Amino acid sequence: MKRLMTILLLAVWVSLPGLAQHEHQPRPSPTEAPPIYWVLVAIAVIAIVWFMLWALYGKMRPSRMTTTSYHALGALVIIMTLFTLVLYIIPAQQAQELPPTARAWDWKPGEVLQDPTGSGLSGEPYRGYLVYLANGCIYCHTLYLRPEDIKTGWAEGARPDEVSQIGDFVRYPFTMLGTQRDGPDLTVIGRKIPDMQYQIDHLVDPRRFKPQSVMPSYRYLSERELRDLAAYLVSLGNDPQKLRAGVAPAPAPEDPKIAKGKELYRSLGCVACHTIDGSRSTGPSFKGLFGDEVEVTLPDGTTAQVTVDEIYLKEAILQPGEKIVKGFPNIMPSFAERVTESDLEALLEYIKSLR
Amino acid sequence: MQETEKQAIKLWFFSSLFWLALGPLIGALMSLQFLWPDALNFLADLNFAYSKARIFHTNLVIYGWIAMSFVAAILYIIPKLCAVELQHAKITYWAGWLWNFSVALNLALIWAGIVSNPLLSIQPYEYAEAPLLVDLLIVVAVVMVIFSVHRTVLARKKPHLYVSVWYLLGGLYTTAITYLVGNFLTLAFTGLGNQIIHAWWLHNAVGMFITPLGVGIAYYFIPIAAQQPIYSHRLSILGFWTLMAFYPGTGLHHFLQMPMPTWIGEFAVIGSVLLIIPVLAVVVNHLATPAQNWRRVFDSFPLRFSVFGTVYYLLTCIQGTFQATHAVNWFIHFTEWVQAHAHLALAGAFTCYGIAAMIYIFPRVTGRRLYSRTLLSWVFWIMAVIFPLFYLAFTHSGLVTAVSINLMNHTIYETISAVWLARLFRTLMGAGVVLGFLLFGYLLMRSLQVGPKFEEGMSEVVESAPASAQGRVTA
Ligand code: HEC
Ligand code: HEC
Ligand code: HEM
Repeated sequence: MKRLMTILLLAVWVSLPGLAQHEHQPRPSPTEAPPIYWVLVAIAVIAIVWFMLWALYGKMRPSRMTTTSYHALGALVIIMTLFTLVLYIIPAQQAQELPPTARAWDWKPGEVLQDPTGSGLSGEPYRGYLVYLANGCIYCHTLYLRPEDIKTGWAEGARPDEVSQIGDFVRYPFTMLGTQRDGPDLTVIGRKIPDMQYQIDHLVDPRRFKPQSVMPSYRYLSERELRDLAAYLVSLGNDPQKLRAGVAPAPAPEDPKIAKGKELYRSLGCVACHTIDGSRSTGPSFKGLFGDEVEVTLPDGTTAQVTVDEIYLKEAILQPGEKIVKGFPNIMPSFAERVTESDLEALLEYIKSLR
Repeated sequence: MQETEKQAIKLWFFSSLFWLALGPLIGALMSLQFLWPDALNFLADLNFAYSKARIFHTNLVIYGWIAMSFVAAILYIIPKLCAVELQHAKITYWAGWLWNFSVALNLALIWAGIVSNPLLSIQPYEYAEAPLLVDLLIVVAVVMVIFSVHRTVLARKKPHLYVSVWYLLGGLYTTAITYLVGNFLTLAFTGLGNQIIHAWWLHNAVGMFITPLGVGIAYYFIPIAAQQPIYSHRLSILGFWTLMAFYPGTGLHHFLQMPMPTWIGEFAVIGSVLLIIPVLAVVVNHLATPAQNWRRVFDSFPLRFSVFGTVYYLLTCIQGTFQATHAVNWFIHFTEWVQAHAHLALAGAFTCYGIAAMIYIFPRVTGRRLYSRTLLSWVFWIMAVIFPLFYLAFTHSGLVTAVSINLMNHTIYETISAVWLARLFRTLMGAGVVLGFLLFGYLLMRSLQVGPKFEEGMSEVVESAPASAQGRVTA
């Protein structure tokens, strides 16, 4: 009776994953498995049930064990282990043979990437990938986006169409998806911050841009390693073909003020949170910002519509906590201590120029 | 016991003690990264960083402490159960030096961070970061140990194999297979195929290497320390074979939401939940055996630690089957909840087994008893009280992260300040645990000098303050 109860209890426990059906797994179903898989599963299930019944109710005659039967059972242990290995090798084989997606990462050893901001910096993304490995970035950062990450706070600024697919990875010699996130996912970091100089500065001193950051300083990396690593980061989330084609060096802005503003945008780290191509990141994009209508939350919790003018922009930079753009967190640091009046002018001119 | 055999056991034994003192200490140090990151900036001057320290930490506790203490215990247990001397003891002795050398070389190469050298660069597989050169050395050392242990089993005087021999010998072979897959077979796959094989390794490092060896060791020390026959022979058979059947396929539960064919993930989840069967079989057997003679749990330290280890093992595995289901997994994945689980298993359950084995073996290979009951009680109470708090702090920090990011849509950057306090508590409690390990190391080293002579039949630990302990200790 006790034994039967135990078996029943176990059966309930085992059916739990079935009950907790996975609404969070919007991917193809188990019917993909090759038929041989189902045959193997059926055999395994029958063997397990039979074995458990035997172990619980069967006759035990250990005296009949001989050295040969011990060897046979020892071989069985190894066979069971290898059996599951084969089950893993089947999908592994399938996965590495899938066709690449259009945006699949695709950089060969030795290939050089030019900084898309036109700064003249360059590096080898493939080698950067190896630098990433050698320095253990994988223990705080992941390199894949789950469907779950889009609605939640895991991957700020990532778009639903950027959820990772098998084909995205086929050209990687090995993968470093990662199991832990103590920092943000980096799958699309290059699309968000396509600026090698910023990436290098951030690696050397992360808290210069993000005061709360717990990321270690990697200032010990050699110049070349930093450049390669930055090139790798910039290659993430960007179409390799476009990056290869390179950018016509952006026409140097006529106005020296705008040029200075552009430089400040990078060196102060605005680039970490604001894009200039209209896409969302940690903060709103600067593109077309000036003159736009935005909805903001005031400190007392009420909301208001404001038009973006110079006064608003100044306030947004000096006292960012005063008006919070709706849909964004209140994490922008105040730059009141760090910018002079003329810096501020330059930044405003630059933002205004981004139509 | 021959001298060479003792020598081999001692080498593995004391090396593991050394790494036990070092590995967790590095863990405590690197946990400061999450509290005062700038305080660790000086590491950059040494070409070092938190992320490298973390590889140090995991490699040291797994290959330095867990593996070496387990091998020391195996070298003691197997000859006893087979009633013969350890065969080729010299080989295991040299394997011990080779192993130590590999661990040290591994650290040096991780530190060097060499880029794109096929032999000297670290590999991208968690717990298998060791560069290929180190892998080759470790493979040689493992083969040497297996050779000697298997020869001992073949030379046995008793026809039957006790369940520990099943676990230990089987476990050594599955360890070898797993290690080869994790470090060598992975090289044959690219893209996500590589990640799938990596997943197979990742969980089997735990399931086919640490678990069978640890459980096998507990299967030996629990009945012998409790002076009771094992509760159920049937359960031990059931436990062994279901472990071998369900464990190896579960690896993908570490990457459940990565893009992959669902069926193989489903296979891993079902296997993970089924794992509760071998776990319950083992746990019932381990707890019901001393239940007949419950007083012994208070008297015998090896038994106390083993029983505690078993309790932690049960908790780990209940947590494990729970978090392997999709509904839970997506929520806690990527957070420190997982590290909490890892520590409950390795630093809790298997470290307790390791400590139990060491207390039992120490007098029998060195001829001296542990000189202080008080100190050992301190170690025990640290593992029984501070360690759970350490675990809770880790879990707390993981849960706050999960809620903040999954439910409140905060970014990781915003969450850093929310978990600061939990991480402070983690460091404090972790420092307590490290202190416990250091105390344990001190106790053993000091007993080498002042421990009274041991003879079979005595308890491993002195009952009251002996004269030779220079009056340091009170009972
Ligand atoms: C202790 C964990 C940790 C490690 C190790 C770590 N990072 Fe980070 N990383 C973070 C955190 C936290 C953030 C978010 C705050 C910030 O931007 O500094 C971050 C942010 C980033 C960003 C985004 C920067 C931005 O402005 O949005 C990049 C790129 C990055 N890390 C790259 C790396 C690389 C490359 C490595 C390895 C050399 C690395 N990280 C190692 C924790 C870590
Ligand atoms: C840590 C990330 C971060 C950094 C660095 C940062 N910002 Fe922001 N910024 C934000 C966020 C988030 C918002 C939206 C919430 C708010 O209004 O505070 C924002 C809002 C703004 C706005 C208002 C935008 C709108 O749509 O109304 C302006 C202007 C702005 N930032 C300018 C800057 C400038 C200039 C810099 C560099 C000197 C900078 N920010 C650096 C995160 C950042
Ligand atoms: C024998 C004892 C220990 C063992 C076996 C052990 C094992 C591990 C393992 C396996 C991991 C990686 C988990 C994963 O990524 O899945 C880890 C990480 C870690 N351990 Fe330990 N550990 C031990 C003791 C300690 C102690 C005493 C501390 C003290 C604070 C500590 C602090 C840490 C930290 C901070 C991490 C990194 C967690 C993170 O990335 O956030 N460990 N340990």
